[in-house]
Amino acid sequence: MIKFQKEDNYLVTGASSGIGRAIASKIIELGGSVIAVARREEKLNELGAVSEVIDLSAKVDDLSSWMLDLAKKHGKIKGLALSAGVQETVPLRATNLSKARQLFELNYFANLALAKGFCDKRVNAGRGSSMVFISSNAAISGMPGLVNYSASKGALDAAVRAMAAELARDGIRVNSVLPGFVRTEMTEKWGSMNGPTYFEEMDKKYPLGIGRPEQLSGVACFLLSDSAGWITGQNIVVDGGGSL
Amino acid sequence: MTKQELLKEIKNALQRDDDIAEDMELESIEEWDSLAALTLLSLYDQLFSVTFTMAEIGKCRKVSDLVALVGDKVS
Repeated sequence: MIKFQKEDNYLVTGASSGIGRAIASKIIELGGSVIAVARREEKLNELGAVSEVIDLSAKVDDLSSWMLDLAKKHGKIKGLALSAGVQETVPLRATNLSKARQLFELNYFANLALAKGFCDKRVNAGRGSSMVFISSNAAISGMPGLVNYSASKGALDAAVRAMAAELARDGIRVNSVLPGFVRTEMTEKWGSMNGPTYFEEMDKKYPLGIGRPEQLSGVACFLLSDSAGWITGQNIVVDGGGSL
Repeated sequence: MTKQELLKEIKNALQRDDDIAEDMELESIEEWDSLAALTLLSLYDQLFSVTFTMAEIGKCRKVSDLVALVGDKVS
């Protein structure tokens, strides 16, 4: 049974909905404290966590120093669960480089800046601290229209392995989780865009069916916990067999 | 944007050598497929900041229907 300590702070991005919210709730359920980060304050207030409202992609250059401020304000941080991200379905032939860079700004560079901030010994809680990045099975399975999104998640997974190698000497573990299609507020919108049979069709592509946020939160909490103390640099696919 | 400019954008999105005309049936256009429809969704989003659904694109039968989707945004 995974248990967190009340004095252990976990920073969760994308905490207002979907996978991020499920992870934040699960950490609190398991006894830990959460600094919940998102753009929408009203959704954060219901969580029972400390709330930090910020648009990560608008402040990428400041995020590392922002982490230091957070640690001064709330205490050192034991773990990061980085779930904020955006998916855009754009075929290669319609790719707009300016928009493609914007997607990378949030999906990759904001996470890189947060990781940089976290590796500061004034920010993290020392040995046993851990980072979990929410990637996607699109990083390992080609899908039409997801060229840039897949690349942003693949970049994250590659960075995870290099960060793990670099931070192991400090006892900091770094892993990513690669979800398949999960029903969230974001994917509900796609459902309304793609017609009534969309979810049914997606469900058929997954041997264990499409996922729920709660099916990711347990894995993320495991990776954040001491139970995963010998796991680092791994990209762990949690997708109901969707990438088989 | 004029209607002619939009037709040129659609032609480029379809990566087509020949011009397209409003009265052409989409089914008769060799390059028209699901990826082309997805490309058009992205194109309209980029050009006009409007988001259509695949269902809405799927209802289009002629090139004129694709043009009509953006209504008064073309002159």
